[in-house]
Amino acid sequence: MARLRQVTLWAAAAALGALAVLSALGAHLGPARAAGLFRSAPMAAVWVALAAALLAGPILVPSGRPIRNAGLLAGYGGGVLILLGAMLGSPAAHRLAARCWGSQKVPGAVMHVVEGQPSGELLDEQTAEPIGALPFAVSLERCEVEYHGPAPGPASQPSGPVKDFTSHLVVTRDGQVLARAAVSANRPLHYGGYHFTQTGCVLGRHALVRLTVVSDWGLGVVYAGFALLTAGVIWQMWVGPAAAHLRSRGSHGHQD
Amino acid sequence: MAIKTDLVGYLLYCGLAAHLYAAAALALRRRAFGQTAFATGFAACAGAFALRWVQLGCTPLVGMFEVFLALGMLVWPLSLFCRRVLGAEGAAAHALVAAAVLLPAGFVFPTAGPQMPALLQSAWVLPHVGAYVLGYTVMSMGAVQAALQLAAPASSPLAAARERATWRVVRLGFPLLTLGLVAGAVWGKQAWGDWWHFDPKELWSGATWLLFAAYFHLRAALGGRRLRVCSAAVLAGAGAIGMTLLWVNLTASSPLHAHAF
Repeated sequence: MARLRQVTLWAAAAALGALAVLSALGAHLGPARAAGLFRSAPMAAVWVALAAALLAGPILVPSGRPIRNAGLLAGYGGGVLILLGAMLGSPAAHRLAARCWGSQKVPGAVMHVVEGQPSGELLDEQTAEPIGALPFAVSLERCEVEYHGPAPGPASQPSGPVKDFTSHLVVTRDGQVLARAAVSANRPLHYGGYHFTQTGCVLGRHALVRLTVVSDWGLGVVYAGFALLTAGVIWQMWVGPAAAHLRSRGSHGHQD
Repeated sequence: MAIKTDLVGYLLYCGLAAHLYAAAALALRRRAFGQTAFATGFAACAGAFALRWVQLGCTPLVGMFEVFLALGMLVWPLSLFCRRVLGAEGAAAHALVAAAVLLPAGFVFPTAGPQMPALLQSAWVLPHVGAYVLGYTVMSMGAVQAALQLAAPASSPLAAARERATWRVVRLGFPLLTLGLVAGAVWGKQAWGDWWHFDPKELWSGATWLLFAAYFHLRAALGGRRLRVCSAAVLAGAGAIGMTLLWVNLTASSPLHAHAF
């Protein structure tokens, strides 16, 4: 058991170091090529192996009271959830779903919504070519712009750089209004299994808003993983040692 | 060269001078003078930081100037904690690190304009950037301690003691890096639509976190042997922090983070 634990620790250190090197390499490739690298078939095998290794985390846990193991278990469990959530939200998972049960869900796209013109067309982020359609339509009621300058009055023009702009969206299907939302910076719309994030707005006679559309598959799992990982790391690195230190002071001993 | 001629700038330059004086005094073992100068440097930087907060009307962590000012400001209190509670050493080096981060703040980076872009008007600025500023400061002390460990005679009690102190300091900073990374991912989801974009800054931040995670596993695997290898791993992590903090921003290679700094 001790030998197995030792081998696993070495393997984990090597794997984490290798992933760090890959991340640094990906940073120099640029976002698009890095995404292609980390979502490639060989890397998929690496992710699955990493998830399996994290699930085997309990063999890394030192023997002793269970409370000492909680941080490590939570940390490794959080890592597993993050990987699982990322896999669920990946383009590969969406392609698999389309092949297996005909899912029409798109992992990510952009929309150009013109004021007063409902649209459900999804466009490729890079080429702007149509790649799918939503089961509902999104239209832009109006676009409001807030400026850093003085407040506009009836006889004055808005001035200064833009502080924020808000798109008032309406979700409809067959003419029936399903939802209304005001989307602005850091305030996306979550509807129908997608997040709609405002990434651009063009004002004019008819305003146009650019929305980034991302599938919400796996997001809850990822967030649960974040929470578990953070809690585990804090417990393992801060709470556990602080509690041990207080216990040792209470028993009039000093341990490191 | 962006020389500041307002009160914030004067306070920063006073803080920079005080930290340089502290580094010299502590290196020459003039502890009383050095510690007083160190604390004075902190006070000056804290004054500048507070004034910037009032000027901006929000958390002043959205520009390179403000971030580096915060980094320099946090060195003294964290150095005090690491030395008194965690057994770290190198007060002179800590003061020099503070001066090193205040230099570009004082002479290179312009102050952020009062008109914040929409994306930066978020409650996530403080947990994301704040956690990273704290974490990077702590890890810089971990790097100093790791360098001291490498300088100690191999296999000596001093080397072992310094390695344990390195571990304690890095153990303090790692959850802060974790918090910063997670907060950034959640904020990225809200701001840009997804929690991970393979942006260069994200990838270097991820590489930094992975390196320190690898350090903990490596240290556990070595079981008290080859301490220099552990210290080298900490220095590698510190190098990754330098790349994340400086190279990505100075080469403008991060399209998503470009407006942030």
